[in-house]
Amino acid sequence: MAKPRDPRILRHGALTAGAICAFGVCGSADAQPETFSNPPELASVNGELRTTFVVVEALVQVADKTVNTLVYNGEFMPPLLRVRPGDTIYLDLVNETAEPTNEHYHGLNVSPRVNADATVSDNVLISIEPGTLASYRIQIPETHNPGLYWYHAHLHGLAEHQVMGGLSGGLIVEGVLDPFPELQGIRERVFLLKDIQITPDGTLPDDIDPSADTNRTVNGLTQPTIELKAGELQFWRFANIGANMYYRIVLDDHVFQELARDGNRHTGLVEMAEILLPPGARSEVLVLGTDTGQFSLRTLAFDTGPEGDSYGEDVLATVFTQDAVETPAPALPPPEAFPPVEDLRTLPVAQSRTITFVDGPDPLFYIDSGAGPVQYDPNRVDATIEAGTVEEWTILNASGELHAFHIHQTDFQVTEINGVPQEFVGRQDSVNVPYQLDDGTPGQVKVLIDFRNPIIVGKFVYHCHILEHEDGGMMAIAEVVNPPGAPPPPESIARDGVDRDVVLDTLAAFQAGSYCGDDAPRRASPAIEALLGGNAGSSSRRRALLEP
Amino acid sequence: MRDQALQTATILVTALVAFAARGQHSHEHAHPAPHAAGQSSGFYLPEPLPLEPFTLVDHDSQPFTRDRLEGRWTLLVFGYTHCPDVCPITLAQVRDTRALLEQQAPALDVGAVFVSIDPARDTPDRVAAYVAAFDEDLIGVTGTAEAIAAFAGQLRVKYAPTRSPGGYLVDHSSSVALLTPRAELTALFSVPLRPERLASDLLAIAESADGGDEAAPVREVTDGGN
Repeated sequence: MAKPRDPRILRHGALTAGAICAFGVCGSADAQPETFSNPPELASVNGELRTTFVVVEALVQVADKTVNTLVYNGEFMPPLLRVRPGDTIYLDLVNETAEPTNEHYHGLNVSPRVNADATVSDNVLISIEPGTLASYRIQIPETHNPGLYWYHAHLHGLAEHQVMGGLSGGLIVEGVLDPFPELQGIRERVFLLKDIQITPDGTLPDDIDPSADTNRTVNGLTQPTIELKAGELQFWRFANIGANMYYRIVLDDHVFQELARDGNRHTGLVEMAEILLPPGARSEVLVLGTDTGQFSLRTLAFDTGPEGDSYGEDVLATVFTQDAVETPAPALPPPEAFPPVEDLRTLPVAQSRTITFVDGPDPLFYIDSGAGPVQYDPNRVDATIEAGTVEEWTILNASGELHAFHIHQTDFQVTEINGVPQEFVGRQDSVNVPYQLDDGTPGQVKVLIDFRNPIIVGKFVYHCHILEHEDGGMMAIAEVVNPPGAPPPPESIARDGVDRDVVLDTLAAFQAGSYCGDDAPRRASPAIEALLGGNAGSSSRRRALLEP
Repeated sequence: MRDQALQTATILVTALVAFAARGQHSHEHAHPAPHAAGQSSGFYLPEPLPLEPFTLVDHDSQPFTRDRLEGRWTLLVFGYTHCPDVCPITLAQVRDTRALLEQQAPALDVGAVFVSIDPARDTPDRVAAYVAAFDEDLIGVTGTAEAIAAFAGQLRVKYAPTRSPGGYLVDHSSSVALLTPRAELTALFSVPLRPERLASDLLAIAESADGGDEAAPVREVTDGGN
């Protein structure tokens, strides 16, 4: 973090004043409330989304403050990626900082492996070292669920700092409203919720206390104003893309009709007065403007438990409901308008497991996957799962604070919380796990996890998505394996052929990702940092990507 | 010990700088992807990556050069004899994989090489004693710090010393490399290895290569190889 910025980075235009001020008030003492706007976007063209993200250390303006942090392309709120099922994302991630990083495409049901052409799919076990790059190619299946997803840095030991600092953004797989002709054309608003703690020195705290004062933003904006007409139906898409914080979202005098959760369309609308969003979760809702007036979109105070964190109430945005719409809002779609969602309870359970979240002395966190509480180790497999199966996992919380269970590459169905059967409304990829009771009874959530998708064969992780906990060790490796004799996992074919430099980049990232040490991979070693001055990671391809 | 550690770190820097330059390898035998992804988790290179010449020392204090890797498939493990966990476990899994292959495909010649990334402590004699504990056919390799760093750099192996009570450890990449009989890198496997799956993958890769532009090397089988 302390490494002086390479002046070459400035040529990308990422750090120009205009870019810095795009989401802030640039220090104006007479600042007016900002008007809500969706995040900047990049959309796929002819089935492909091609882009380059350069991870840089930059001064950015957030909440009327200047902070020195790591961001994509100089922006605290990087582009929202819009794709359709069947599209391919080609994303070159260039690491121009002094610490390693990588990227996770949260919620996508895609391959966790290295692709056949040496590009990288959604593989969080690689490490992109300082001065190097990796080429991601994310092939989104034609059958992929449409909805709201997100991307973020996911390197164990650095994820909390990097995500809070800005290395997260939104991703939409288009089509979630396609089954509802009456909803076509209604206004869509995307709310990417990201908070950042800023010290008086204009940096992130070295040791982040999740309960400490923070700066909540919506698409990088601070308490923007939103227009909603009385009687107007809008489609609001919330994503918690911050590091640790829970959101408990309400809109005064309004209710939400939740249509999808974590990129999974429900079996029907679910009415709710408030939306609880653990870190990483998404909620897509219909909102009908009620009366004219001014209403606060708020996150209510929330406490994660006697040994956990406390978040105060705050206004996220102010909604102005003015003139009534001239034509009545479309009717809310009835359950029968929703495409069917397979109820996993109708399928045989191949294996049952118990996963227990265990807190150690701060800052250590553990998961017991059946062999005792252990911290994350990329060189160990904690759960070997046969491909093509559905498993029932009982997730226990033996600590005095909430944990947020998340698994990569797939979704699950929550069937029971603290012994109470849950109504089937759809699937999700993260779930809040209650803390243990005073009598020591652990919190409990039962889920059915779908491992039938053949493209998810390989290694990936499950973890608590409170990133303080994940960095502290509360993550484990799952490996989905084919039955003996089964064909190898399907590989998409590289349209671009094989690039030798991509092979070498992936080789370096794969090797660095398998680095084993007591606390690796955390900060870059002094040896690696020293290399930066020597332009160690330069390559013709990297240079080409960085040239204006 | 600390001086040794710092020396190793310096060498690491030098090695990484030396191998940071791109596109320096000749690639006379490039051909389309020789194999589909296998059952083992890892990185299957779309085309083999030839290794450059090197000069190391085997556990008999004899020169260990690129030609020693030619003519047979090789599972290559980087580690060090003081390694407390990953190295011995991985070497045992490599041994088990080779044992399975002995049963399943006795004509397929698959060797194993252990390369120390701690040359300051891993003398040939120490490496000899270490590899003998795992597999009588396992070749142990050490060398000068510079030569080890250069060789490791070809495969982008990351390693660096770290302080530990009573001495130092060497953090390092744990992946196991598979080299073709032309001394080309063709796959990296994540640990822990699954010997049955890895043996199956090796057979598939060797058969794929056999159907390509080169003949899979075989060794003489005198006992029927059951």
